[in-house]
Amino acid sequence: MIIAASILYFQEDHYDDLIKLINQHKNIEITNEDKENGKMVVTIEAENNKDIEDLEEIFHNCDFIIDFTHHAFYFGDEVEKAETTGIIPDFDIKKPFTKKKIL
Amino acid sequence: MDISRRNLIKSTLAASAAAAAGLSLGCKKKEAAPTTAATETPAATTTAASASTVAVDKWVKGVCRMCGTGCSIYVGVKDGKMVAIKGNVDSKTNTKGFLCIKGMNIWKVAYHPDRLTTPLIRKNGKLEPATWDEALTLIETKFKEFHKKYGYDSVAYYGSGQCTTEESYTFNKIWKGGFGSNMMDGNPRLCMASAVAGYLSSFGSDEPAGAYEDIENAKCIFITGSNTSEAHPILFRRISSYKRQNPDVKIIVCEPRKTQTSKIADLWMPSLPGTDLAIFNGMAREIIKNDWHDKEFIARHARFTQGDGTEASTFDEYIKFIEKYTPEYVEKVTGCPAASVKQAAEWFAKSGATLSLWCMGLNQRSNGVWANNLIHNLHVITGNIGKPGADPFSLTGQPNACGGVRETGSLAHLLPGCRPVAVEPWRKYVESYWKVAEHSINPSKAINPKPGFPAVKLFSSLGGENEADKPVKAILISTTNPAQTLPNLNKFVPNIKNAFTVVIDIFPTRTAQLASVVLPASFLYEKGGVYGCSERRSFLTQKAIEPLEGTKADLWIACQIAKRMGLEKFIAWSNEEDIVKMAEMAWNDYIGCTANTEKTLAGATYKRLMESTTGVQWPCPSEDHPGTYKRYVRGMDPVFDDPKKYGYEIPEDADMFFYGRKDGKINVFMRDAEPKASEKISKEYPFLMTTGRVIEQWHTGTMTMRIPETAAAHPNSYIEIHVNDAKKLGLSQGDMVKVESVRGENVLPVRVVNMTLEGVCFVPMHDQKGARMVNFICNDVVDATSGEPDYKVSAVKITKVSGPQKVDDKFVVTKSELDSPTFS
Repeated sequence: MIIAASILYFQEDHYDDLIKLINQHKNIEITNEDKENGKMVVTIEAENNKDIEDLEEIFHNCDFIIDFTHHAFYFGDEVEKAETTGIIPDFDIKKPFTKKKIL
Repeated sequence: MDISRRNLIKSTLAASAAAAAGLSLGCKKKEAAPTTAATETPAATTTAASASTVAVDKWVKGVCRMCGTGCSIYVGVKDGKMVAIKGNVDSKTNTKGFLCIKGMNIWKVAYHPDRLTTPLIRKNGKLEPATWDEALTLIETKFKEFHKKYGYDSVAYYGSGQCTTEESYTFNKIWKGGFGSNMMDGNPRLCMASAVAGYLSSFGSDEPAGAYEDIENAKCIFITGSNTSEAHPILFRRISSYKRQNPDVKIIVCEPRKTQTSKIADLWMPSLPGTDLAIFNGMAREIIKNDWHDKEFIARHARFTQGDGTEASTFDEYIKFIEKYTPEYVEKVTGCPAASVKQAAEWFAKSGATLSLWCMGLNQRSNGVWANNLIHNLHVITGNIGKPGADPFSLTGQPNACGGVRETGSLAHLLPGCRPVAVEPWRKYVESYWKVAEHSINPSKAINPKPGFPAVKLFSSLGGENEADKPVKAILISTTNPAQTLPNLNKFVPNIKNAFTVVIDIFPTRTAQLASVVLPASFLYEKGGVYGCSERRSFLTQKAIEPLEGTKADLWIACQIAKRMGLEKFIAWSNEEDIVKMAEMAWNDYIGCTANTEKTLAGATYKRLMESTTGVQWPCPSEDHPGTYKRYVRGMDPVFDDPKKYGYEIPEDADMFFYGRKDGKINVFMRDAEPKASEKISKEYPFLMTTGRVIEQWHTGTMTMRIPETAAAHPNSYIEIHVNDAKKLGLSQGDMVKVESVRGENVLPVRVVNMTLEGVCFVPMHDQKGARMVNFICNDVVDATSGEPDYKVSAVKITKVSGPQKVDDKFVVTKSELDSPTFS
């Protein structure tokens, strides 16, 4: 489990669309927003960075999202796992990246 | 993790993100959202304080080490472990504290099970565990033996733009002052040497006049020889964000491939690899023909030259010289449409403030210095220097290539302050400052006036004791991987193997596979140290966690070698036990040595760097000086306040003066575009291959290929081929091909694209798998001035081997493979 704090920059007149989009993802919580200036801070709970990247892609594909940037990450539990098992946490190998991998 | 703890952690991170986003008291919050510090109610403050304690014990500031940008971060530490990372909101580099995927995953490097934890000594062909004392004793014995038998130049050092400034300075002092040998160089020779020589020959002083801050002041940004979106992602975000908010700002991208960088461009100028000098001369011609040049700036600040710059010329001669570069001629030579040359020239000259950004696409060329000179030319003739948003700004490829290597003079031809070792007054000053006559173990008791060998020549001259034509017998390699990064590897791999090679690194690498001794190093956040990024900004990373058991900081290793070689008093910090104090002493020695140069960081004391959340830009002559955003401008650059102190003369009435050259003017060169030394295509080798980075990977992948996410995103190298070329060769997506030059070959999967020029192919450089290590193919011809190799232009042939095959991807050299360097 990692936790990210990220910032969404959006077109002000699409606030309701953004809320609809966020509500489709249970692992995203809104913590602060500035509706008038199109800024919102969200936290994301994810199994790994891959999950976060997938979300990023979804958000980037929306025309009303101007930017989706990450500011902070907590990975304490992952460090503990790596230290106790000697394995660097990976994502589900059955769902590999397809975006850039060619084979 | 229980829910309350999880929520508290979220609150801590969210508060920081809110500060980064500039969300303040007046912001509306959703009712369901948890309380955060950004609300700043007493209750919220208490909650945030508790949350902070739950999440981390402390936040320790530092720099990300995964590219050349120099992003500022905080490492969260809990119970002595790295558990979180966040961007530094105050940062002047990664503004608003943004981070990219490499930075976010840096903890996976620190805790990776592949970390080397024991010194290794090669015995009977196998690297076997040893104690630190055994390893250091062997190094001492061999170095002393070679010094005695073959002379002081027989033992070399090869460093890195990823060592800290304190480390590079210490090794430099040991070699040049202690051993009296300039046989030391570093991997910035492979990436930045042409930029150094470009600034020196044009301005007389290395490094840019401006800073990243110019991005948000520019009206036109000319990006050439740089895939900024992948090589400097956070800077690219800064540029694209600025463009989005200011659509009138013109972005021009000039490079052979239409990469992600050109997605934000108003104009993409394609150019066949190695030919862009014609574009730059063509733009200059258009600018002058249309009377867009800045006559006043030229009259005051330009010195037209012929040849190598020693022979003065005139503006009229310059006009005659560039006359042949008509837009139509440029199109013929480069593939860039004539109309694009005209348009780029107009925007460059008429924007009001043009910023050029470039990187390895210009530097890693046999005519790299000339390419740099021609960019400087464009800025001089249009007056685009010395005002906000206007600057020729070279981006570095590593986080401490500027601060650690250029500024400390840790290259074969330099001394601290980036001044040539061959220049007697400066050499004598450094000898005196270091007290070389008192401490050197070399009977000459002096710094050698003759430059050592630049990287390619150094590794050509490296070899075993039985090789009479190889004068360098031993080499200490720190934090870099030349057995993968040198061009034409077939030539150099045996040399590294045959010599007495000592490797300092955190992971097994291709170079470690060839080493006689391997020393396990501590990671940056386990030791701390100063990094100086592209914009002359030095920033201290503080030690956050204890080193992994068994590892040692490079600075400690340098000091142990110094002590054992009889330089205990020369390196005064070698007896210090605490690594942080050791680094502080080295830093103080360094800033004292360079205090009277324009690179001065005398005001950047360790105390100041520890307290600063932004770092300090040189020149910074005193503790009360804020650091310098713009060089060469009176009122901004402190050199103007007391030029004699720095060895310069500046007329009292000069508002802008390029003091690096005595007449205060910038050389405008007449550089022909013909890349004489670059490889040409032929009937047998009909494609031009160029190489470069991808966003998820860093250098040779020793770190990023061990991070599951980045490894998976780019698990192997491949060759990008234009769709029309693929058709001609009968290739489909994923087919396996042999890519051959006269030097070597790779077998790679094909990626068919339409974003490169026909006849041009591209291979990334990060893959460690021997059959995919592109530097077996690359050319080891170097720029005659800078000594930097030409990684960007190799003539190759491409032959289909098979249809799609399973590729042995995410390959890294493991500990168990240290004894079997098969390179296949």
